[in-house]
Amino acid sequence: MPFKIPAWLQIFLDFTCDLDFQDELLGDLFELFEREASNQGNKKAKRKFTRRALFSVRWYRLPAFQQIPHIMLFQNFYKVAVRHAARHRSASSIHALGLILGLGAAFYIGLYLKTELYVDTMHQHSEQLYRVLRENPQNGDRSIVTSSNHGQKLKEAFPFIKMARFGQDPVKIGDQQTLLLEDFYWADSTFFDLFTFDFIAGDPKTCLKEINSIVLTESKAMHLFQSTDIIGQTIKVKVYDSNEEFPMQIKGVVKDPSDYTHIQFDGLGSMANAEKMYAQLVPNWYFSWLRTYIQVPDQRIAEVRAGIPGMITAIFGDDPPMNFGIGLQPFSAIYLHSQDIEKSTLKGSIRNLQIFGAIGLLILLISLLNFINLATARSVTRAKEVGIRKVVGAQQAGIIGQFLVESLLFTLGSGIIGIGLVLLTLPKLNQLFGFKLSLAALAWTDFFVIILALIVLGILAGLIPAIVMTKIPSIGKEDQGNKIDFGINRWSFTRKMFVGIQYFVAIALVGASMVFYQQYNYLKNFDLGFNPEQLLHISVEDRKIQEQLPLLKEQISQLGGVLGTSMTGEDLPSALNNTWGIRWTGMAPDRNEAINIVGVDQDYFELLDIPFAEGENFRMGYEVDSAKSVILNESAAKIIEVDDLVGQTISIDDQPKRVVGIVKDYHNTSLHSTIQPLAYMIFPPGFRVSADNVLARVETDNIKQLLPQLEQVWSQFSSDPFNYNFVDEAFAGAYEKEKRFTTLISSFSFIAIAISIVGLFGLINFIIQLKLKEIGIRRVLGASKGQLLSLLGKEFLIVFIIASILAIPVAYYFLGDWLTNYEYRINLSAWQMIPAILLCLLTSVSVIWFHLQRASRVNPSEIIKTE
Amino acid sequence: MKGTHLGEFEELVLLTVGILQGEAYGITVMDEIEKHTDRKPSVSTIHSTLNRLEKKGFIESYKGGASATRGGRSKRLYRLNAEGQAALQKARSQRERLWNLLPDTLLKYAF
Repeated sequence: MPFKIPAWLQIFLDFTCDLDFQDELLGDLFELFEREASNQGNKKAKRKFTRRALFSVRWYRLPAFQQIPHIMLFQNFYKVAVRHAARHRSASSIHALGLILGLGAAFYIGLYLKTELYVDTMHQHSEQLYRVLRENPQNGDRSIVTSSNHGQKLKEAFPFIKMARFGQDPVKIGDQQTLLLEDFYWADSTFFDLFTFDFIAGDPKTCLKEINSIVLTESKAMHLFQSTDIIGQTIKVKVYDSNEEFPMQIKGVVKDPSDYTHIQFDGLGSMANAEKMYAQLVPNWYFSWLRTYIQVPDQRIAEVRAGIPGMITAIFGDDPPMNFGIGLQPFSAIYLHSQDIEKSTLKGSIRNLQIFGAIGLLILLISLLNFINLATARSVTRAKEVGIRKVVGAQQAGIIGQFLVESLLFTLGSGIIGIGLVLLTLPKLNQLFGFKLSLAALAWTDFFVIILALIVLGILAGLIPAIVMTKIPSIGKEDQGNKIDFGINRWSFTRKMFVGIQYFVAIALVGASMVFYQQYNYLKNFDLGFNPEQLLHISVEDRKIQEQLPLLKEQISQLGGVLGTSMTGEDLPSALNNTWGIRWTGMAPDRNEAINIVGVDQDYFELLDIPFAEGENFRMGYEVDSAKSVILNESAAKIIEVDDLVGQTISIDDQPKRVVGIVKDYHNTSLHSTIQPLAYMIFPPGFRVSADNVLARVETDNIKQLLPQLEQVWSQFSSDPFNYNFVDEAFAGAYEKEKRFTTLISSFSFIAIAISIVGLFGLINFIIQLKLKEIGIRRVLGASKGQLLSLLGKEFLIVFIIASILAIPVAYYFLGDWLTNYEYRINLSAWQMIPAILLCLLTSVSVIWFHLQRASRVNPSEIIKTE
Repeated sequence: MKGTHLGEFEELVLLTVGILQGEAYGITVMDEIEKHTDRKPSVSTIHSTLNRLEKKGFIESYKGGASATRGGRSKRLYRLNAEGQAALQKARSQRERLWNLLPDTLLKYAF
């Protein structure tokens, strides 16, 4: 024997080639293999063999094809199914529509889940990677930014681990035309040992070893050089925050980081530069700026975790001087489980994953129930066919087979259409919901999983109707049974339950989307404690202009239509990136408190309409006394346990500062966080905290005239483009996530309603057909339309009311739970579900009404006279 | 049975089976066709054409010997039967009739 066929290939052939043909096929393939192996080599021949075998599938060789009689029966099932679908075109399309919507939505949610779980899996060592977190064991706070010692000491204590740190530092890069790289990091040379990125040029092992080395992403390299063949070139890199400049040599170009990893960067510089620049980077435990990751080989993670407390004791003694702890977060958990970690900006959320997963399942469930319901209801129209089949000898299995084939055809067809629609509109859907879903997250095996899932769903959905059909008596025997009802009445309770579940899901989803929308609106329109309207914000990214900021501000304030101006070191909403230690007389020596520093000028509080609770504004320009003065907010004043704080001196970052005033609390961050203790100070240019934003209150009526003037003033200072935004819009933009979430949930609740309506539509249609005669007689006897409506509707009304009563507490429970995520939230009351219930009720009643209208258009005598 | 019309590729295969005289099976037919025409049909294509010709009743198949090079699998050999010969004859005579009807001038000057 030339060689052994791999088992999987043999299985494949067993499935696609009947035994009668295998000798011929395999014998010939082996002969070709022998021939090719001798002149092209074993390996190539084997590959060709495999390819030929895979492409050997022929219709006539399929094992299933050999059983011609079965195929013929199947063909008959198929033919009847198609004919039946074509004859009842409208009913069939309603039938399919619910499934298309349901399966499409489920596929989309599946794709979403897949994509979210796909994140970060492309790193070769992702299983061994951990993120080091700075933890406070006392209050459980965790932060992604660590000091230089966190990684350093871990590496020393556990020599078998690999460690890489990187710290963000926006830079301006380029010789003439500069480019701002926001996502620029100083990184340890081990960066590419831990993380996997595709190098276009350069050596991942050495590219960050030497000082003044830089690695750029492909897109940035193309932007700067119009080429990626730039290894060895030197480029000027100006650090945005420290105003230092380095000539750096390009040592590597990597493909842009995938959208599906949380390690994102535009460029990386060697850590040696940062060490040279920032004195704080010498080994210490306090300067929290670096992100630290470790790679723990050979599943020794338990050893590391167990050893950390001992390591801390070894360094600090039995009584660590601060609330000190080190946490390790598995790499694969980072994207989805970092919502409560300080400084983490990742969008992923395991909670959303669960919510959407649940919604997906619910929608799938109701579309299936819908299908089952409609299929059983339609059995009446098939009664004759089934009866005749039975008379000519069909057995139970044959009848079941027929309806299984039908439901399989329906689910497969609807599934393919639904999935196709999702794929066609994927870019639009991504835009609408703010996702970056793509097929990249799907492996080719998922294709089979989807097909398999559709088949399983088809069988599930077909089984109940098929069994109902087998209960239909054969022709000639029907008088003995319950005449018209056949299986229908027997299934009436189940049918009501199915309809009830559909309503339950629809009401709960609609209610949820309404509550989400209210919460979003609540956040958007929240009273922030200052006046964000008509407030224009100009961010100044060039350090050189920052020196001239007072001048720029002055010139802007002189324009007509500008009501006031100010300068600040923080955007609105603020990121609050500068936290300094604070001490006061009488403070317990082992206590640590920190405060967020906001650089401002004297006009800030007046411009923003922030009232003073105590004390007053900075009195003079910063040359005189404000360098020694500080204004606190109420939250900060609460922390500092000093009576009559105004006028006292406290120490911030070991500098004495006199408290001149305390302002009322206001929200300078989005409402996702509470009000932080703040200290306002005036700084000269050149610090991290110096003012680098101009705020201007403007008359928005004349904004069209004002903007060109502003731009003109700007152009006198800088060649950079004029970047501005409005503060109220920026705050509203902070709730983009909530907005998209609301859009998403409303879309799915829309689909849920649509499916329920489709189901109701089909059912009512069917019931009217059954009761046509009754309706006719009632009309003849003078029943009004309202009476007829109640005849048809009361059954559904009862189901509907039960569904609503059940949906309210369930939705209430989950929504209440969800709202606890928000510090600032709407009050939930059962009344909020009422509009959702009314909406579902109204659509349902109009569906019934529509059918009734149609039914009563027929002359009653036409119906009654035939028997 | 569906029509017994002979397709173009079927005709080639049928001729080849005749040429090979009892040595005709997947590989030999494939090689022969490759030798005499510009085509490189795959084994499975040959198989399905042979299968079709057998269904149409032009050739008959019988089990041939197994060998080590075939992994111990036996050949399925094909031979032309009377109906196959008749079909080839018919195809040829039809074609010749049509050739005879082609004007001479076209043959002389067009090529």
